[in-house]
Amino acid sequence: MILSRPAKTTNDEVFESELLPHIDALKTFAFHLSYDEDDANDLVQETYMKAHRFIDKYEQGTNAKAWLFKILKNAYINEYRKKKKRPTRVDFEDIVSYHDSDDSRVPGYLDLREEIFASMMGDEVTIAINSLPIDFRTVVLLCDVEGFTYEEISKIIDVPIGTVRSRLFRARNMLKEKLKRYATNLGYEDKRGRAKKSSEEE
Amino acid sequence: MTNRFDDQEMRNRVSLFFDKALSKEDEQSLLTDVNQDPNFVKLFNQEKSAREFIRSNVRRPSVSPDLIQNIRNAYRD
Repeated sequence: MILSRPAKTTNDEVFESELLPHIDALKTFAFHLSYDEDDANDLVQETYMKAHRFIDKYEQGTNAKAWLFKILKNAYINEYRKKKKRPTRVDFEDIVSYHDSDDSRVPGYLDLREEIFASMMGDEVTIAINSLPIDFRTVVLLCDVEGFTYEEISKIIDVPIGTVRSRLFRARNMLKEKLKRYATNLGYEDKRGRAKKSSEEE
Repeated sequence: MTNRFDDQEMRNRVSLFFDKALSKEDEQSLLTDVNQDPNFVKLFNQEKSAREFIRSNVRRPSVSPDLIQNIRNAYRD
């Protein structure tokens, strides 16, 4: 007796062709949220379980990557913050107070010379990103690493586009400050200010 | 010589460019301005280098075949 393999359903085909190809990007995002590879694997697996369960809500040919990242973000918030017993769930609206553009402690823009990058090893980037507060880390990962637009990020993390932009501004400055510190530790010295000052004194 | 306001405005435009947040017209306008101003070229290239450095050096852990198979097994059950 010959048993025929059941034909693949349309949902399974969509899952394989549109959702599964984003697994590498999801794993990277999950890793930088959880700091742990096993936890990241669990997050990714849970994300795909949910994606398959709710695949009818996904419109074929639309933005699968953004949809999956939103599922993963929610899974992270629900499971891992509870597990790690963080004191309070971060209220995104509280973060608005961080983003005071008049904050004189933070320079408007931090420059980083190209030659500094040439001598850095890649680990500094991972360390610097992972040391950012979660909400800043998230926007850097979504925009600078994964290439999502402001609008996509806004939908993934459920905050207004203005908040996305201000968080990115702050996060990038923090990141550049951290990388600048690594560069200083490698022996690079920022002499630009000194040169400018001496020319002004002439 | 650019003043501080111009510098900040340039930086904002460059940042929006790399965030793909400009319209096609504004993108073209920025690229025209970049090509006409050496300060702008330098700023543009610095931002481009910074973005590429971060994107290419962030750790990307590999996905094991077991993880993929576990996912497939879970939804096929």
